[in-house]
Amino acid sequence: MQIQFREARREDIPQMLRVYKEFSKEFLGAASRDLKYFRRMLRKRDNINWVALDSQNRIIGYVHARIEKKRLNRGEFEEIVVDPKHNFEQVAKPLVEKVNDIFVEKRATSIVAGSLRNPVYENIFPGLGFFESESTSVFMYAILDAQRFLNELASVFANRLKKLNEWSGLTQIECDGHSIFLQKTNGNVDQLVWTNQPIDFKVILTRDALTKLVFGVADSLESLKNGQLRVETTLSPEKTRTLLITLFPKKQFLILEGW
Amino acid sequence: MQYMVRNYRKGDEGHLAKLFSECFGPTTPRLLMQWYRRQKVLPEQIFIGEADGRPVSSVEVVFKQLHMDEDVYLKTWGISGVCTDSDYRKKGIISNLMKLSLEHAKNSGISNASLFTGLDIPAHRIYQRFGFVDIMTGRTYIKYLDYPSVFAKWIRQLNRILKDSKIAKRKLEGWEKSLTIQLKEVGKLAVRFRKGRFQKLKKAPKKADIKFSTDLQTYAKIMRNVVTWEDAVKTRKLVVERGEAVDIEMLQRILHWRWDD
Repeated sequence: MQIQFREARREDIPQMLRVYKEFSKEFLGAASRDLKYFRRMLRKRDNINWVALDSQNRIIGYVHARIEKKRLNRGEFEEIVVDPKHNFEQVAKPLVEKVNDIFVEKRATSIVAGSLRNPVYENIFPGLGFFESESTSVFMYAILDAQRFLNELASVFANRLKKLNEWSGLTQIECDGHSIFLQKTNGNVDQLVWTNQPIDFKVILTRDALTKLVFGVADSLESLKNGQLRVETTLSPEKTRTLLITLFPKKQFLILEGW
Repeated sequence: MQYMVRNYRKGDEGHLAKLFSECFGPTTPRLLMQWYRRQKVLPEQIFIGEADGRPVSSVEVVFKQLHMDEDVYLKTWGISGVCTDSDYRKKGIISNLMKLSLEHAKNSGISNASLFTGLDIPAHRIYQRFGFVDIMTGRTYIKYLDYPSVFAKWIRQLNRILKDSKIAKRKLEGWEKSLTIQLKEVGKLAVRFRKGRFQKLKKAPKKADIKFSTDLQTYAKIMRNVVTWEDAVKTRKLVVERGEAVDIEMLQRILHWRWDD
């Protein structure tokens, strides 16, 4: 497939937002955005924005970068976003090379690409002469109200349980004494306010474990082993593993913007 | 010490810009207001600790919606701009501001809070005490195109941030030393601190007070605090040719711009 590249224009904004939405669906943590965000991105003079287009002139990826004059004329790759239907590296690499050349033209003294944490970066940047460095910056998260947090996540857990075709039953997820109850019957999952029916599958978690599991940065089976997560069930060990992996799949965490 | 906690009021931006300059590097009231507008921060989302009639500490809140899977986005209480004037640190002001801000979040029906910080700063421990959990550290890819220019601009930046940093000025008082860095890929770079200013030297002095050699990658990692000076010395990636221990300690403070004990 032939991919074309050009500088982003104002009329690209709706398509860029669409690509961002598709891309961020693949990850946990990515913030929601609106058209205004992209208007600002394209308005600022020091920003460098390039898009990749398929043979039908549809945007399939973009790079947003900028020259930070206040920070030693440093070139910074802010984000590289590719429609998940396309190969990330195949689309991103030529975009990065284009912007890299622009940085050189603009006499950037250094170029930085930071990420929290895009795994594909390591396939692109070292090949372009970048060296890798760990960073001391860290994203932290706290659950302030466990009951409300569980209620807000009930639809996520319900959708995950729906995917488990071969099982029906009552699930309880408990964190710090707060619970949600999810009743699965055939293809439907309903949230119950409370019940004294026998629970088929009960997961008891600490706040720390729940925080890490919902962002996909901890492994549910590992948490079970080290006691951060407990299970009370009559199900077989194999079924228990399947349910845990369904409720807490290991997904890639990626946050693109700081605050 | 007596202080009060209140929300932002018009006219605070000058004090806050000074406070931010000391904690995060040079900023102006205009840039600060631009940032507030861009992040849609309202006055009631800015918590200020006021002592001696002026803002000495701040915590701000930015609302974000984070993707939690299956098209579900959760509203998060994004904590930002956490800082305290160096003369008012270690008095519990920031802990109190954080506590009040998080209580406010809970009362407003927000279930969670999030923030970005550094693993190597004291605030990280404070956040852990409030129940914050490390989710992910970053990774950075760096390429230097013109390191001597980076070095020259870094020195200019040091002088700019020194202007706003009372604690750094105090620590550097009476310390007048020269430094030569031999970088494998770049050559010799020299700087001295004299009369309260950092000065880039065109020619490296014959007998610098501190002299060390290393490669660019190790030097960058030390500056970013991901490799400690001691580890770089131990692994022989950095060789100190001259320098008293007390001067090396001061140099490390300058490299990381960390002045709290």
